[in-house]
Amino acid sequence: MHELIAAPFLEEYFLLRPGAVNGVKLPRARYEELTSARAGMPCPLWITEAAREAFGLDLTGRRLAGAVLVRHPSALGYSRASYELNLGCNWDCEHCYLGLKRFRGLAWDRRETLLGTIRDAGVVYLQLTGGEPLIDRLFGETYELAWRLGMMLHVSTNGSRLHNPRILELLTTYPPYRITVSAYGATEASYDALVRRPGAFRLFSRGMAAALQAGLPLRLNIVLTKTNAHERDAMIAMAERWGLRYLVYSNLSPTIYGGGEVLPAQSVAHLTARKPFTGCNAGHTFFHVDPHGRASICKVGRDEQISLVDEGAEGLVRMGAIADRLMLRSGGCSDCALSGTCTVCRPLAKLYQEAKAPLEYYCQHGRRNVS
Amino acid sequence: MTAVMVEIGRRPGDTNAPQETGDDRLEYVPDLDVYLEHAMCACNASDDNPY
Repeated sequence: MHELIAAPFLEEYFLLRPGAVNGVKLPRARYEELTSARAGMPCPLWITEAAREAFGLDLTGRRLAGAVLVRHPSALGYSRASYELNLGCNWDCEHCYLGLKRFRGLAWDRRETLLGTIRDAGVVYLQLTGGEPLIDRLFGETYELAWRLGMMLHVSTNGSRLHNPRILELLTTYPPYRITVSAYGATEASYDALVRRPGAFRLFSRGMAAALQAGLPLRLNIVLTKTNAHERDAMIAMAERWGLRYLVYSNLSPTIYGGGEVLPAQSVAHLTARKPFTGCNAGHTFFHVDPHGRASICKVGRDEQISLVDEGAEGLVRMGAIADRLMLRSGGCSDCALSGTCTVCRPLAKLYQEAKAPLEYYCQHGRRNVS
Repeated sequence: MTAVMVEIGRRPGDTNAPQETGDDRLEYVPDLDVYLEHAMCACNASDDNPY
């Protein structure tokens, strides 16, 4: 089991430690020294010293091959991806952007192929998400293989299974880079009402207690809707009591199918101003994979998917052109005079338009009351 | 369709990113999020969407 990962990332080279937020940037020559190292060679002195200084890790006497997993460069140059294991979820949140949350995912042999393909595309940081990924029946196998392939893992979860001893053991044995837990309320009444599952808050609280006790690298995503907006301050206090970094989200998106049924849950009083959209690396350095192994530029722009299971990493050669096409202002946004200061990307604007959402939710014309 | 020019920089506006040293020295990076944010899609990197 590796202690460190040496990997190209965004045309630079890094020494990473699973579970650590810090790292060491390597000169190209040092990285190449690792890629060409002979079998059985001990860790070079410079890497032993770097491991001690950066991570407090003692690699004295260790063989390089056992201690450092060296990722090889990919011509595709991707560095980050997200993988939606399964759209199924044990909550039924009123605001969920997935709409129909069907329990569907790849069988193990196809998942193995997929994870190898994601690795071959150059991905170093992989987000495992859903649905609720921790209830996916192959979560453990998927997580462990992705970790062993040398990817730094980020798990997005509702926290309801973090108390499970097998999951805790997995996450402590193979440390993730980050676990982001969504918070839907500070009390049982509001939390259970929002996720529409009695007993959900108790599971969330139990999972958080176990994860905090285990020292997992947690962050909170606080989601505000009409149902729990009155507990905004209480949820922030909860995060601060736990000593966790957090973000508060109040702007809801239509479903990935362009459905507007989730938007009425939005607390209009808590909507925040979006920053102007100034460009995006989706499809160029990042891609998203759905439960069927189909890659898209991101979680929002899912048109023109590429089957990574069928086509392999070579299929991603087309992704950059797809991204550029999807980002063109089209439909109702063609020739818009305010494009330069628009706050949403084109794929997200398209979803709002398909959902027939009120213009003020996403468009400056709505906010300025200009037709 | 009208194309809108957007700048896709590897590290747009990043003043906190460690600078190139141009030599053989290792560089210790205290928080890799500085790099990660520029590998994400915009809505992931911003505070507009929770997913």
